Amino acid sequence: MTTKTDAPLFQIQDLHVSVEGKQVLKGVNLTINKGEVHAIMGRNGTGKTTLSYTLMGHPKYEVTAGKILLDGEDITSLPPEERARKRLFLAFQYPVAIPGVSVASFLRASMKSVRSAELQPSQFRAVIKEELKKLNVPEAFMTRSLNEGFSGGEKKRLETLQLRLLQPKMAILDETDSGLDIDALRVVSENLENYRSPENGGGERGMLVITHYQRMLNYVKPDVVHVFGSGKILLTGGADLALKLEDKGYDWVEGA
Amino acid sequence: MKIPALFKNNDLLASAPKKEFSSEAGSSASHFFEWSDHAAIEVVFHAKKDSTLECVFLQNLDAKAELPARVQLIADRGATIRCTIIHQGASKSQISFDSRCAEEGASIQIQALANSRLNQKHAFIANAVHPVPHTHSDLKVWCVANDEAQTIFNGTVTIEKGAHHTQAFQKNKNLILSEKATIDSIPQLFIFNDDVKCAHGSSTSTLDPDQYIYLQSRGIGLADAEAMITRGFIENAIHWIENEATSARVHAVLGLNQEEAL
Repeated sequence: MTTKTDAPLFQIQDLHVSVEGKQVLKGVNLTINKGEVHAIMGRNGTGKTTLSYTLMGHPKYEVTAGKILLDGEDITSLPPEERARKRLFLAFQYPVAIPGVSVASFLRASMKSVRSAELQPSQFRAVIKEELKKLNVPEAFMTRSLNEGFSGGEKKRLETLQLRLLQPKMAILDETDSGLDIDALRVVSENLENYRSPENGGGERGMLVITHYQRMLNYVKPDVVHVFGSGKILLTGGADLALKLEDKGYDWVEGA
Repeated sequence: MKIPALFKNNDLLASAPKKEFSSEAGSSASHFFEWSDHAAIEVVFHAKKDSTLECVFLQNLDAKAELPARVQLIADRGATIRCTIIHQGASKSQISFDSRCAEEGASIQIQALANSRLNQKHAFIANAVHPVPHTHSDLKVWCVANDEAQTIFNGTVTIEKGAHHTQAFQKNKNLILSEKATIDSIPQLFIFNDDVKCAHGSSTSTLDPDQYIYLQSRGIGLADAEAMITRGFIENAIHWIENEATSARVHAVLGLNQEEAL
């Protein structure tokens, strides 16, 4: 397995995926370079979440053809934890609850797995406290069971907190804007935009934002927008494409 | 319905020593009792009028032990008991606990835990009795069965005639980690009265694949993810122990490092 440092940050090549024998993704191609934010929009049930789970390595989704490359390295056959350690991140649409596991212990374990080369465990506390402040999350949050009884907004704030703590070079956000009220959307989106800003190292990172709405893209401004339908990308354009979709819907995109 | 049990308590507990702990009227108290001897034992926790009693019974036995224990919980008028009961070790162990909300306003809350592995057999025989009106009980039993272990929960809630406005809840949650492990669960309600609020239930599950994938996606490997999820399940039963020394001892006996505050 070789790594090409001059390769695009993230590539999806002719990706075909089946779920329980049914083909859902039918040849997805996508290239994201360092510093770019791409958005994927599309109707419900077109395979967007299947794409995000597949990219993270969920075993339920079988790659029948194609490749996923991170920094030029083929990660298609790697388990999710290996992908995470290579700094790929998925913000889940529906983060699962794990009763009895505190947010603090979970965050410490994940930071230890992903960032132990650059941070000592003794530094975790200060880093977590700092990021909590940025997201307007009280420290008492840390003693709660992971995602148990969390509101939609709390779950998405925690996903955003994890993104900022784990410092991925490639982040996939699966409908991170769903379940957020206006204020929470602003806080979460501003933190995401801050994460991709050049002064915070965003020039070396990439982001794939899966969303139904333009509202999040008002904050996290995409460089490229894709329309997803029938298990593949149907149309690609600039940021104005999201505005057009918001205005005209998907009917005009053939096959969407 | 056939009631599984590992021992006939009346035979083995007849000559067992009895330890009694109580909270005085109007006070708050905390008692911790750890039992490691190769002999049956009976323990009584008694919360007197308007008192609050936090109590923990930890049966911490070596691998060869085969014995039963009985725990009696009695709450007087306006009193509250918060009790944690834990099986640890032993080859074959049975804990029977009888809770009695003896007078109006009494409340008894119990969390019980069996963390069973190898060829261990652990049984909980629970009996909650509500003889008078306006009382409350809430029992949660958590069982983890790994390897070829067996856990048994046989629980009854009895609401006697005239015990109006009783609230009684009973839940048994089981985590089964091996195809060779077995779990028996029989929650039962006996209600001889109207105007009460009761619920009971039992669920048994393996580890949730969605929980695995979530942890893995954060860089946590499969073995660590399994340990974390299992530990979380166990913490459900013991996290409410308020006494810090007791909590530390329970965590140590169960082989769990206590979590640091942020």
